[in-house]
Amino acid sequence: MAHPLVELKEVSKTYAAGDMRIHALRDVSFQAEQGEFITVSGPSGSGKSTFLHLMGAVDAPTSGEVFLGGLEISRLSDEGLSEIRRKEVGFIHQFFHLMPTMTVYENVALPLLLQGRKRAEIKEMAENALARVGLSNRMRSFPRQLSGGEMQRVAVARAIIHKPRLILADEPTGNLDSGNSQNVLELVAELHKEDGFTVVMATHDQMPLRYATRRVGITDGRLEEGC
Amino acid sequence: MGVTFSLLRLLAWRRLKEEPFRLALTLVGVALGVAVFIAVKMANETSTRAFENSLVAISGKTQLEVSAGGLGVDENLILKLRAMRELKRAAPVIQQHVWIRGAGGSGARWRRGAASQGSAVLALGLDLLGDNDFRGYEFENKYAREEILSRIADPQGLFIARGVADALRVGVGDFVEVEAARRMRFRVRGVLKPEGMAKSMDGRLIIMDIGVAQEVFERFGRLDRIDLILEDGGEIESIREKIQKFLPPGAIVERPARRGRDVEKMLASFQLNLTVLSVIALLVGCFLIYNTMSASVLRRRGEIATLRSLGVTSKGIVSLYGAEALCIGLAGSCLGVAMGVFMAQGALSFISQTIRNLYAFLEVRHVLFGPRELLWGFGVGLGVSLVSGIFPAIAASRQSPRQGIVERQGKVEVRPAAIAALVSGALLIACLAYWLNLQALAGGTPWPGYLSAAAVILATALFSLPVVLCGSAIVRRTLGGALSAWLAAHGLGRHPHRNAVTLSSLAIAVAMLVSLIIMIESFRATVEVWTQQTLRADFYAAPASRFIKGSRASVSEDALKIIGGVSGVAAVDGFRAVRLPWRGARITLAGGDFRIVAERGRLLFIDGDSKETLTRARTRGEAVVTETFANLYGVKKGDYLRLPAPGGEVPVRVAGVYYDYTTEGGFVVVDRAFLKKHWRDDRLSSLAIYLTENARSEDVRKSLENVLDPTMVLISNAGLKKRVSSIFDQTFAITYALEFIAVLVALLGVATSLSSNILERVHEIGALRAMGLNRKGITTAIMGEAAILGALSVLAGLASGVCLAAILIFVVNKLSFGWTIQYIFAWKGMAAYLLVVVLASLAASWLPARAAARIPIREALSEE
Amino acid sequence: MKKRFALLLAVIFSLGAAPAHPESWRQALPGYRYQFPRDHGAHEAFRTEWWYFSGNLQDSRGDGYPFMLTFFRVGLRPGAPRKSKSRWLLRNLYFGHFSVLDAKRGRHRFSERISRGELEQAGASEAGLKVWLRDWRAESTSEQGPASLRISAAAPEMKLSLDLKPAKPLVIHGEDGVSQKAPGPGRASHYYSYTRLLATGALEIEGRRLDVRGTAWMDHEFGSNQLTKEQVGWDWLSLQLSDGRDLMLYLMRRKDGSVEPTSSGTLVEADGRAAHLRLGDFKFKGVNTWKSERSGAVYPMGWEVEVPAHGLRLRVEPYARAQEIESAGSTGITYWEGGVFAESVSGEKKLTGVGFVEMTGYAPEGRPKF
Repeated sequence: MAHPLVELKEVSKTYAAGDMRIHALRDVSFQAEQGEFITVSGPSGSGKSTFLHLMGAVDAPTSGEVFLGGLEISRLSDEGLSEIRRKEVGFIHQFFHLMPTMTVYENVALPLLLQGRKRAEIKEMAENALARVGLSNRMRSFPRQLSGGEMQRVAVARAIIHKPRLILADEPTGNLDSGNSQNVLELVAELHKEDGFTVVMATHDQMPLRYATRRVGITDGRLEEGC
Repeated sequence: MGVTFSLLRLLAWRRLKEEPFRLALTLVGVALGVAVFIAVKMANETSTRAFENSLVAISGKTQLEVSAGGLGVDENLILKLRAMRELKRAAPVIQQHVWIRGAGGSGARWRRGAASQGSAVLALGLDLLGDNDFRGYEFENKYAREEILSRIADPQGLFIARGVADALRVGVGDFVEVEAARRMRFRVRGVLKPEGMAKSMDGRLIIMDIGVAQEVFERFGRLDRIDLILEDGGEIESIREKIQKFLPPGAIVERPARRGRDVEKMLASFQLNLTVLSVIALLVGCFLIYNTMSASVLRRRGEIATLRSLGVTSKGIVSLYGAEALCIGLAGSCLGVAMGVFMAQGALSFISQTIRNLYAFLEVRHVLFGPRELLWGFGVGLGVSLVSGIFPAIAASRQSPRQGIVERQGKVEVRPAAIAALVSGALLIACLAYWLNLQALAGGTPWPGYLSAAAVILATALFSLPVVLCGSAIVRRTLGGALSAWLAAHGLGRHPHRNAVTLSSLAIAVAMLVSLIIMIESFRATVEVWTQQTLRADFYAAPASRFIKGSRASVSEDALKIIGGVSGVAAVDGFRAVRLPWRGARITLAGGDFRIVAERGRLLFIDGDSKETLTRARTRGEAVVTETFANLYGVKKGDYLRLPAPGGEVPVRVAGVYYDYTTEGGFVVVDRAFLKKHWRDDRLSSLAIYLTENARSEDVRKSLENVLDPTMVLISNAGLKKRVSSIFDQTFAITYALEFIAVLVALLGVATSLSSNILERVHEIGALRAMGLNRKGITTAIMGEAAILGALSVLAGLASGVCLAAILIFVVNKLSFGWTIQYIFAWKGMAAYLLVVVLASLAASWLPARAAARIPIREALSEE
Repeated sequence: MKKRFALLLAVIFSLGAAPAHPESWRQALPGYRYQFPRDHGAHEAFRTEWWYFSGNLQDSRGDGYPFMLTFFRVGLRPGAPRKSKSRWLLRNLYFGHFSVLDAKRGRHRFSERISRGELEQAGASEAGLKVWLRDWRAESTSEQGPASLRISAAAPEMKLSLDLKPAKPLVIHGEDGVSQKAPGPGRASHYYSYTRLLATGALEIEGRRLDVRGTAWMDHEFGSNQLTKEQVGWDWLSLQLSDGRDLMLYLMRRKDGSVEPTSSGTLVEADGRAAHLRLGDFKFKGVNTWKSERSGAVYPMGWEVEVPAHGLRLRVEPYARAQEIESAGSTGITYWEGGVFAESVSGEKKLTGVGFVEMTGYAPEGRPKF
């Protein structure tokens, strides 16, 4: 059997904030296979985001090891981590984090731009991605002209355009009404089925749980399976 | 690379387009800094080069020159030199400054003092038959050529350069009047083509045959210079030594380039001062960019975070923001260079006027600039942008990807340890500055003084953060009752780093302004006191051409008798000043009537009574020297000077050192009888006239004007003081100009910084408005913030300005020029300027404040 | 520099185009009253003036050394000179020409000088004969009796110092005190000569110091505006004959090749009586020619000289052909000036003689413009 896509081995993460030390994660061990759709539940401040960040090479653990695609990423340099983020990971955030000065098309194309691909190639892939999320007609619009749901769908397109193996979603429905939430979740599930990437979604919403193949929870920095 | 460029276009450029006002402010700030720097640089270089060119052009192919200062060399010396095998040619030269004016054929008389309505030109008397080996000049008119010898031999003939012909609108055959020792009428016998020598000094040159020159300048038996060309293969230095050996005392032989050295040194000091000033505006521009960029980085942290999460490396972020800074720098430089070229012309006229007033006769009208200067401008602008933009860029890259996503901007914490570090660092540097000054005074060179000024500026910058925090805390505590005041103080403390930078830049600009004002006003006050006390004569008379710097015009001694005979005149002090080569430089030896000065005039001696010292000097053949002389050459009371005189060296004891502000380089003054005896010179450079008790000034003036040769100018005591004052003002005009520009740039910084602050706090403003604070309240809060910032900057600037002034007065000026200036703090003027700065800060904040108040609440509250 | 200056100089002398000065130069007109020794001196009122000395010298071995020494004065502005304390004020230009021929070896040397007269470096007294150009001098001395002269000049490789004693009184050429060069008033000069002077002195040449003696000739001429535009130059001859007679002839040549009718000459008897010769009274004709490599000029060389009324038929030959002078450094004139010897061709007595011939205006450049 192929090794897991993501693996955390006894990972702890501690921050300093002012005079206090926050233990975001304590001795967490975790594995995710290619193709899983995992939801991570837990109250605010429980460490869910940290959990995602470590997986997505956005942050490094205080102790323990993180593996992505069999490669130990915990001690990589900034260059190395950046490369991983460019190629292997796609993020979807609660507050969308689209570039307000760029059009929908440009936002979606951004990861490809960063990879230095050719224009023609970018055009094809971007148009394709937008079509998949159903926003082909909004290519030239700016984020401020979109509704919340539309913005999140653009974010989804951006997250998948470079065909990453891992999609990390941090409260993707946190800022959407129920109708839009449903749309976005269905979209993600559909894309997940079509492309076969691994989804790890942090949420304290109930709705996403439906789509999960596996559920875990984090409380006070500790991981629990099957919540 | 291509990625960076695309990102720049998609992110930075589009953002900047949305905020044209701020972009414009930043660009203007950078542009002004660059413009000022280039303008001063170009003007300095143009004037230096013009001065050098004039020397070189006039020397031509001369390899060595024999001269003896103002008294001139014995003309028979040229025969001796011609007999030397090593010399190929020896040419006589008379070089003087004169006023020239076109004269109608009718010979209408000039008004007294009308000379100054004419043109100041350099007059050269040359052996026109043989001078072509030395200097190149050609006559324009082919017709004149046929008659050249006859024209050269015309004892009333003159040849003028095209520049003079144009200025006076005269041509061949027209009459002109020339004022030197006498006023003489000449006929223009030829016009020189504007090439070579005739092109230098903007063409303000006239030449005449040497015999004619001797007559005009009454320089019989003497020449100003003998120019030499060596036989081929001669070794210059050994020949020079050989010649020096048989020259009479007081005469020196040197290479032409060295002749201008004294002036060039003084010029260099003056230009250095200006350059340093011009850099201030640039420095302030630095802060401007830093602020703008760091504000930008802060606002775009979300963008940065997203980019990082998408896999942009730290280096990539640095490049992105660094490139943005460079682009701003480039645009600002373009603008700056264009503005600078424009300003250079103005700067040049200031600088050349000052040079003309204080140092040497120099005419230069057009700024020289070429690709080199433009490259400088771009280089400087880009360099400044890069240096000040790189830090925010690095800070942006350090932002961990996690941070941007998760946190909203809370209050920026400043650790007490950091504050302690800053304060102690600043104090340490202040001590360093003090130590540097002591070094400077001990060593006698001003360089450590400049360094210490830099240290003070650095300390000011370091102090700025603690000041911001302190200041806001104090305001909160004292005025915290008023909501607006509280908000203002709170706002100040919200972005301590950024506000600290703004405060630094404004404080530094203010500090420079304050220090300059103090120095200039102190200088002015000192000079005024000095003129009050030492300019005691009722009238002063001198040949009009004496007012051209570098002139050697003189009048005959007979003037003493003539003036003395006018009723109402109690005493006439005849003054004679000549340049003398001494210890490798040129000093001024002067002779005055010590008896009269002792009785009626006054010199302010550092140590000693005026009357006693002068009487002693007169009776014992001693000298008094100016303070600048004493400082420059390390001479003090009681020392002996060995002065070269025609009959041999004369040892002269220094009877006293006195304060004097009329010249740089210094005077050695002896009783005129002593001068006559040893230097065999009986002419006068100027006269001081004292009236009797009951004489009526106006009547005496009329009588004097009747008897005085029309070439003499008569000035009253008040008139002379006014003249000193106006030269003073002219000299410092450019300094003021530069300073105000620096302040302007700093104020631009205030405006941009404030508007950045506001954008940061849109949420907060929205919340406040939602809670019920009205528009006026918002405006007041923001303007209050600006007012506090302005006031704090002014206070900080005042404190360091006072220190800087002390450095300037007691160290830099003293060591560069040798003057003692009393430190005088002019409260009234200062307070006015500083109030203006605070008000300007307020004004700078008005628009941003109003804009902030107008933001619709809903928009303010909505998310990014 | 020298060339340019000379060019200027040569140009200045062309007065045809020059506008009139408010004051003018004095003209050489008939009726001039000569007064000596005053007229030996300079005549500042006239524009050009020269003192010319030539002679044939022999050393103790009999080797011949013809020499020429001339002092020129050129006035730059007419009118009375101003009194001035400046010793540089420009009034006259002074030139000197000095040449010596080593007849045995055929080597001809020339040296020139120029001065603007500053610091009394050059000048000419107005009271008597005293003219100098740095260390070249010609002046009256009274050591060896009244009206004796001393001349001296020095140049690289040649140095001359001679005492001259007139063997005959001076002779004023021309008619009515004026030597007419062309038709028209003022186209003339005042011209007198000592046609026979006994010379003794020393000559240093190429390092050899020789005692020399021989006969010399002195001309002093002054005038303004002598030449016309149609004239290109002149041929001049001086001879001292073995029977004690002296002869001076000149031909003014015109552009079209003809000779000016006012050309004339003077024959001086052994006792000093002078007879004026008109153009028709004499013949002075070149026989052969010689071309100068340097200037390209073709000079007549060898002459037939006849004065029938006085029974003279002579053949005159130069001691050497190459005696051309190029004075680019001073007057800018290129001319031939050389020692000659004469032999009678026919007639009862056999006559010999020595003298000088001067030919100007043959070189395309360097024509005189006096």
